[in-house]
Amino acid sequence: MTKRRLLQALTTPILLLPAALVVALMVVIPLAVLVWYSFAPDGPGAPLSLDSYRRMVASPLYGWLALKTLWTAGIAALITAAIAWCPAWALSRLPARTRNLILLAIVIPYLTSYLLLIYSIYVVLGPGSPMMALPRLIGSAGTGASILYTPAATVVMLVYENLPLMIFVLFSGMQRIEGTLLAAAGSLGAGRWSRIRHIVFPMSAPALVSGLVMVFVPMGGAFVESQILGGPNGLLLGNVIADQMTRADDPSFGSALSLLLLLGTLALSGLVSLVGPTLEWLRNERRTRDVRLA
Amino acid sequence: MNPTAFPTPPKSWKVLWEPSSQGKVGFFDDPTTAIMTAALYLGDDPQKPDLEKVRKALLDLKRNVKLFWSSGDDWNKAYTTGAITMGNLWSGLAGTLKTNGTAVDFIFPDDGTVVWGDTWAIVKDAPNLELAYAWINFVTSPAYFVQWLTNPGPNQELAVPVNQQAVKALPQAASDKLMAGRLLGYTGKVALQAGLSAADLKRWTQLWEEVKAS
Repeated sequence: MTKRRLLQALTTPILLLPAALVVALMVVIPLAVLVWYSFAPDGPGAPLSLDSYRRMVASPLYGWLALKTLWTAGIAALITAAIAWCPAWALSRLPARTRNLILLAIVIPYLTSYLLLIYSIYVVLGPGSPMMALPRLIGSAGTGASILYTPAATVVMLVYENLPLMIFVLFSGMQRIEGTLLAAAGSLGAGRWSRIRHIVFPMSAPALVSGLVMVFVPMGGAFVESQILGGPNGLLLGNVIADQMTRADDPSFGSALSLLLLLGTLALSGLVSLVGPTLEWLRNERRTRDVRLA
Repeated sequence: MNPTAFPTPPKSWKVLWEPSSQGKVGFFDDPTTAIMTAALYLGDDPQKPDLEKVRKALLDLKRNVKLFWSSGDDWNKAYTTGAITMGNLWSGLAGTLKTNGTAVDFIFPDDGTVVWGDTWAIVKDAPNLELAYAWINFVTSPAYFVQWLTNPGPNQELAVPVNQQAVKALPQAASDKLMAGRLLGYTGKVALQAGLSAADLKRWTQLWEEVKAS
């Protein structure tokens, strides 16, 4: 009896052990090393100091680059969501077989190396490409013009890379919205727009928030995209970090900058995640007040 | 540079700074090359340049830059699509482009050129020292370079031999491919990237990053 109880008590820890080991090995330890390096500008064995952080705040450059990076990633994440929303909703309404075929097509770019994707977008955005035909047609761009080598090209690339992920996340959230719910709303007189606004949008909002966070985080750390496509004014914090880790041979400063980026990303992701609960709380407040007034 | 854009090749780095070069320059994304090139343009000592003057010159240059390239492929794509028509480029890469049929002209400017030398090294206490010497003698010999540069493999990045005897021994076509012959009578300053102290590397990298970010 005691043996059994002991086993029962141990089941959860034992089952959790592999996951805990993975988290420790792949999250906690690397993060700890990053923090340690950031305080060890003279190498891991030397006495600790705040020099890397001092250097980071001494020039406004790094704070400004961090803001620019978060801004770029934020804009790219919002555009990704805007583009992904309609296809995800359409997919969630399709019969299973057609849907799976389309999902397969969507996943292909996601499984392709991002370097190949960058080179393919290079052709799409180049001068004389179909993508540039529209601005050329309305006269806002000259014949040789292209958005290649501008920060806009980086945003296009980030959106392109992360679109499949966003569609998947939104789709899995929207799939749970029952068709009968919409039919019921329709029979009570709700129009198409009103059903989208009052049923589909609020019910898919949690998926939207997790989708935004999921694409925003890798976008914030991007550096290859801006290196190849972003042009002379497209530098992001990720590029500076990569430079510090490689040719500047300064892992301490690189680590300090990584932590700055990490904290910025966390703060912004946290803010986005708070939007839903805050709105909910406001709505409840208003409802209580209305009830009280009545 | 693109021979169509430059029927008469320029002679100085100044061309990259000309207002008419705006949006046409591809510049190597590397702190050492960038700072040394700017020093040569300014007529300053490339090994110990006045960093504040260099910073100003690089910021001026940035207005003309379309792309800071970091791999040969970056350069090739921008150059072959016409996005850039001039810039600083590894001579070997220019040679490869030329061999593959792209119209490209390459000069060593009169005001100096930045040089990187690949080196062979032997590990301390190597067990087969004689064999190592024999190998190095072979791969730096005129015969080896003549063979390699006359018939390079596909898309190989070519390099100018440091051995002047090897340069002289090259057949005209192979020498033209590398613009190597021009180096024999070259009178410009040669700024060898000889390695920086850790403190200088930090300073130079930071300067270059500030230029790119501003």
